Amino acid sequence: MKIINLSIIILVLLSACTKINEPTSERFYFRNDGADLAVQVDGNVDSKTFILLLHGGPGGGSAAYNSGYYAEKLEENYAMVYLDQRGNGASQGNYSAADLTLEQNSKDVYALTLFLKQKYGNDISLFLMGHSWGGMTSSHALIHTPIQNELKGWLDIDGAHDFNLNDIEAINMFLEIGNQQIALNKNVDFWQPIVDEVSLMDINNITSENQGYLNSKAFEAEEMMEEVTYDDPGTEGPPYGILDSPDISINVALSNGAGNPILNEDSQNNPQTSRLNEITIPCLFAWGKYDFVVPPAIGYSAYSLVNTPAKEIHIFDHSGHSPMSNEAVLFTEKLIAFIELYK
Amino acid sequence: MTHRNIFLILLVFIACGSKAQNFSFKELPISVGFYGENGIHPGIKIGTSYNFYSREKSKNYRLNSRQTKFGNKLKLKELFLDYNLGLYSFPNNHTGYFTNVGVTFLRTKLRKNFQLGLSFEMGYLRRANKFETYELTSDGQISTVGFAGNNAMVLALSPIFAKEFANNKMRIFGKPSFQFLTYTHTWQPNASLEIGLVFNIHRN
Repeated sequence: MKIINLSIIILVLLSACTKINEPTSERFYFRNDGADLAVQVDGNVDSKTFILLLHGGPGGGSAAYNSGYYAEKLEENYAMVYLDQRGNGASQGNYSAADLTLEQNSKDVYALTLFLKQKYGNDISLFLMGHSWGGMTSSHALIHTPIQNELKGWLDIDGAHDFNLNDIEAINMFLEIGNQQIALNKNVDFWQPIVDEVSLMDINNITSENQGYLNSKAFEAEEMMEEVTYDDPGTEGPPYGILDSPDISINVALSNGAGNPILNEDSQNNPQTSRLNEITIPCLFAWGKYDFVVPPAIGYSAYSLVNTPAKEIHIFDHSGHSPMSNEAVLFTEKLIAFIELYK
Repeated sequence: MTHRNIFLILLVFIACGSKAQNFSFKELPISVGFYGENGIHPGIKIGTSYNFYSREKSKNYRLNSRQTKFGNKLKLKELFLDYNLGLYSFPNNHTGYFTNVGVTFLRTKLRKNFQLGLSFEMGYLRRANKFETYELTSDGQISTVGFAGNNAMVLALSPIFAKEFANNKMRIFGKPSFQFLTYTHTWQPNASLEIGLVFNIHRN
């Protein structure tokens, strides 16, 4: 009997000593220069490794990124920080249109990294992740603010760091893949008009109409590629429904929509290519092979220009613009391997 | 402002003033209703209104048979000054507290007590953040912002569909609202839906 009692006491003491990493979910606003930026922190805060995610757009929001296998696995291992950038998602405040700039968004991101270190400890390992237009904000922040001092690495996922170059590469990709598909007699009715249209575009003078055409056809083209899969074994659905979504509202949608052209134009006028060599922290570039929105050539451009030996590029053969959904397992493996290496 | 506008405003005040001679707070109707920002973010709106103009019109039906059956066609046209207070909850975003003043035109078909109307409201909205709001102080420390949120001006135009009952002492109404309000850096449209009751126990 004594042995049993002693065993129970030891077991209780041992379990008391075992640290249980409880997933955390916290939502708050971070006020910076007139904006209340909506921030959601989900996942394993105890890991002391944080990934600050910048969504695409402009006009998007972070809620769309907070689900699926990649989010589940990353949250299991690390803390994910989902930020709605200024003029996007549920972020709001009292500021003027003059404050709706890429530069201000970069300042917001930098200020948030300082805040995260204050809140969760200076010893946290922080990675900056940008998807699509988030690649523009993240590259801009890396170059134009001292944020690199606070980061362990940059995760650039199909990110657009140079809109003009992006348009040129999109034209090239439409021509190359389009002609291949036509030669293979696949979806000729879809590809032929596109090839005809982009053939007429002047790469030295790409108009906003051209850009609109390229962007709209890019998503359609991805769906036409039978190589692109949607293999996401995630078990949890989106975190919000219509009734409790933080950014489903006519007013929010129209206001963010009104900010979209302002931020788009500012992004257009701020290509980062010539200064990517100022990025010296470890970099991971993850791209879908069939991303017509931000073609893989943009990823290769960034990979070749960043000034660090600690860099990787992964092209996902069955992915389009969102490899985190197309090849969720492989994508997550690559991200975790990179983070484990540099955290 | 043109002379015509000044004249119209003066007319409203004169009308209010002449009615105000017999004014009693007890006679003010009370409205209580569901307020849905975008229809899906639930809230409550309460208000009252002051009838400063009313005119009853009587007309013959064109068809003799209807004239014989129902008698004269009776319509009541009224104008009200409104005052409202309310709040709503936008989950995971903000709680909205609002107050507004407005003018409502109501036309009542007295035989069936159906009402059609139009309301214009102008008001203030306080969006109180749903979650803690932090900022960094100049020395890099975290500070919590008290009563964090933002303010908005709201203009609203709403058709009103209503029916009086209980000897005209109660009215049920539906009021979809088309709004124009400030948000972040711009004025933008928005919409809301109200469904409620007006209690007017002193109405004749």
